[in-house]
Amino acid sequence: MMTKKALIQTDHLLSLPVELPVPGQVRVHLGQSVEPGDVIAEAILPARFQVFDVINQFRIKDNELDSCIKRLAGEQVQRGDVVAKKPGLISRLFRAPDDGKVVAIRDGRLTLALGERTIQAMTPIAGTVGEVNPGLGAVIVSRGLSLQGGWGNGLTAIGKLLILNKVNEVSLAETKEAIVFLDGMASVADLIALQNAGAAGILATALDPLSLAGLKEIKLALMSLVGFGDTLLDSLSRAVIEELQGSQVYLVARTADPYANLRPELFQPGENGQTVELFPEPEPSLIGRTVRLLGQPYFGTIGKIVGIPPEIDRLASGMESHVTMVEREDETVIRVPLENLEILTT
Amino acid sequence: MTSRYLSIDISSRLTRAWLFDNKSGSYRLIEHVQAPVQKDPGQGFTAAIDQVTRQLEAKTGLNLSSRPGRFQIETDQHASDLKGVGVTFAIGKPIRVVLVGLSEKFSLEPLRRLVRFFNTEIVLEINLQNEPNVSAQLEKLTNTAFDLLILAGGINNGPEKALRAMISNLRLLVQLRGAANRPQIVYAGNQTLADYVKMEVDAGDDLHIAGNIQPESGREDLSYASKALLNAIGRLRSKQFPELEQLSQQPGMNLLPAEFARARIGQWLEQTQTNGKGVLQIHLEAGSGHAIAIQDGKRMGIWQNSCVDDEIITQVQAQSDQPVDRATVAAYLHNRELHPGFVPATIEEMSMELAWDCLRVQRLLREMASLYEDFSYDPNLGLVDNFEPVLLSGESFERLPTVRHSFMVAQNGILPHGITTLVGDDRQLVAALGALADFDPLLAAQIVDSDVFTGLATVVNVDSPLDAGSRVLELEVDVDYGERREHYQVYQAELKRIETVPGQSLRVYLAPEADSDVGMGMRGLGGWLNASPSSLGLVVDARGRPYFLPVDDPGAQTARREWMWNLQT
Repeated sequence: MMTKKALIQTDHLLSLPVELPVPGQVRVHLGQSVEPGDVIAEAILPARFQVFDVINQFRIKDNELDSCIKRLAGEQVQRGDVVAKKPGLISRLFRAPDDGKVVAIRDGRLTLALGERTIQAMTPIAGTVGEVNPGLGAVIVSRGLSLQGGWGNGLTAIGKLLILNKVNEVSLAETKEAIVFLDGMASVADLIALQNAGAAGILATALDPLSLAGLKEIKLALMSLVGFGDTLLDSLSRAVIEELQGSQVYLVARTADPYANLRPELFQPGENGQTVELFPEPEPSLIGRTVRLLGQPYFGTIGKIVGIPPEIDRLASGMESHVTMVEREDETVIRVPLENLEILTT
Repeated sequence: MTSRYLSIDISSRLTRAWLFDNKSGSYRLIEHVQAPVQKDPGQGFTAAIDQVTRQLEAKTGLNLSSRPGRFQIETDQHASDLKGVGVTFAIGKPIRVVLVGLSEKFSLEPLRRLVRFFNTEIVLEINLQNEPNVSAQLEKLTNTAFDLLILAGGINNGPEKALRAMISNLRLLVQLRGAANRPQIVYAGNQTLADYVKMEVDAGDDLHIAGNIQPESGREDLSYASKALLNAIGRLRSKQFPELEQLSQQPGMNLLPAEFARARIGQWLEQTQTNGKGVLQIHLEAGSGHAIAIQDGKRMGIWQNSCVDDEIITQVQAQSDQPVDRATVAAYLHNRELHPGFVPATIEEMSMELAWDCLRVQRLLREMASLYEDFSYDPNLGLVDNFEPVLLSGESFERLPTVRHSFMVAQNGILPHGITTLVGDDRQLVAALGALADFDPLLAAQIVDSDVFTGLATVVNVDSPLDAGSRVLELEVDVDYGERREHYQVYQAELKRIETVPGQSLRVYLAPEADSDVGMGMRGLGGWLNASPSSLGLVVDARGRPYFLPVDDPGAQTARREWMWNLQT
């Protein structure tokens, strides 16, 4: 019934695809260990192309074309080399404007690929190459502790985790190259202040739902643990963050894809000594598990599942759903649709 | 001899399966089941297909597969068994498309219509007239990440020069990308160059040559290009999901994008019905929507992936029937995107959900109107042309608590014109039937005729210039087989419902006021209407276009709640 994974996992396998935007060459092999900044794949592209229409530019007939072209397709050229020449009393020349290669001679047109431009896909994290995607890149895997979030801006950062209780001039000075945690609903002004102070990444409990345009100005890794709205972080997640304070962590703020079960995450690499199971463990019972609630009026708060009625329930909205009985921290028991909660721990 | 057919639909969240046979002489739906798609890495949809197949086997006692993803399809057409499996899919990220054309009006506009039907994202457009620099064209192509390129332009035997230059560029691009990463290329331009493209662009099965989208000046024909595009999409999805490739290699399988399969049924309905109206299909899933309009044999369609922006936040707040502040709306919509399965639990959440669904319908139709001159729609004034039936499908409709919720989403989003019928595809059969139509066209026809769709309501939309509160229509309703008649008055700004009795059509005489148009052909003209029995019966929508709503927010919210209340069963 429930296929959700726990948000806090001590032995989590992080899989991070590192790929080029355009096809190129993969520079790593399966099983290779990589460090942050290592090149996973690179594409060497011409810096620019130049197409020269020999027939029209030289005003020659089709049958004169062959005698005018002085280089073959595939030939390298140096800057200033004559690539095409119209003979005659007043001859005309087409010289290579830069170092490069003749890549095509077709229909009276000569195409030069000039200069060189390299696009590299570098891994932002350390790990092992778990899968190679030919021509594009690889999937880097690493095992360790993971705290999964709700929203990410697509970037990744590494740094020491720092809990910041208040954004002010004094506290900003400590944030350089750190992954900064802000509890509560982070404002765009605070995020920009942290960006300007040189933080490596920002982890927020939640983000202001009316600030999406402002969030686009944040050019460093940014992740929200709960999503959007006004809430404080639950005690379990807070305990994990406090434990990680001062440690080197990865903020993998990738864009969430709920259909592929991909979420952004705060990750600390490290083997916990456990042997990886050959077969996946059976899903533990939901009863007794701590969950975080979605939707109003309990957004972001936690509770414990104390019962799962077998019958489908009708909610105040009129919707029908399987529900769970959740005992909140104030000991009140409420009914919550199964879809409207997130499992915090295994 | 019994023929059985299995249809499977794979979407982002659910896998559904339906089993049909003709044991009783005509085709019938034997059983249908569904299972969630496993999201764990490494567990693709083969597990979900296997799960729904096993469920069907358990329910019917039939053997359908020999092992996961491998079906026992009988190739001897005279034997009684599973004869074919249709698979429809609506999975994967949008396909990144580059459009290249000779002109805006005759190449790029038709190409947009062609690709927007499917789950695509146009990442680059090159107008060869505006960008004649061949070097610049090549640089744009090499600097853009894309999966599919469509080149069109020129009438047959027309000018070739600009197209030839682009074809040379494509040749180079294919060489640069290498065989493993080359894009799909569809050529749908001047047919004089078709052989030249084949020779120049050495892309094997990744090159698709189609008929010209503009075979002669002023005439557009997207049908051949549509087939080529379908092949290209099939190849792309098979590369992304190797399980699809494995399925397609079995004999007796038919794999189609779900949006294409749905349109087939719409086209068939439009061809066979005699009311002279178009057919409109609205399909809403948690993360996407698809609208298809078939009118005078022409297929129009739009795929949209849901997105939350400032405009939609403002509109959801405005269209909600509960007082909700902007931040609450924004938080609900953003979090809803992160959790597609979220169930609205409170009245306020339900109110935002309905407004959001309605706006998604409006956005679909608005984009369709922007792409197709023949499709007239304005979010405030609604549709101009007549469409009947309007077929509603997808998880977003399916999960709504009552028929009146589905009705309000569709009616408020579409704002139909004249008389129409809203029909719900509760079993989500449309795509399934579209995929099986290739095996036996009788199957789709007989299943549709067997009342598998649920009638939501027959709607009379009143268009009148009168003020709110003025009488716009009088109804005479036959009761007890015409022995007694009941009279109803309908006033401007009103939404009125008249129940139908199960198994019995409602015969109504519509007597509009002189300025009122009820879809009988001209203002003031009335006539008899037979409303088939349906969940809500006959609904008269005289709320105006745009609606007559109080200007203050609380008043508008009250009016919206009253409309919903009027539909109470």
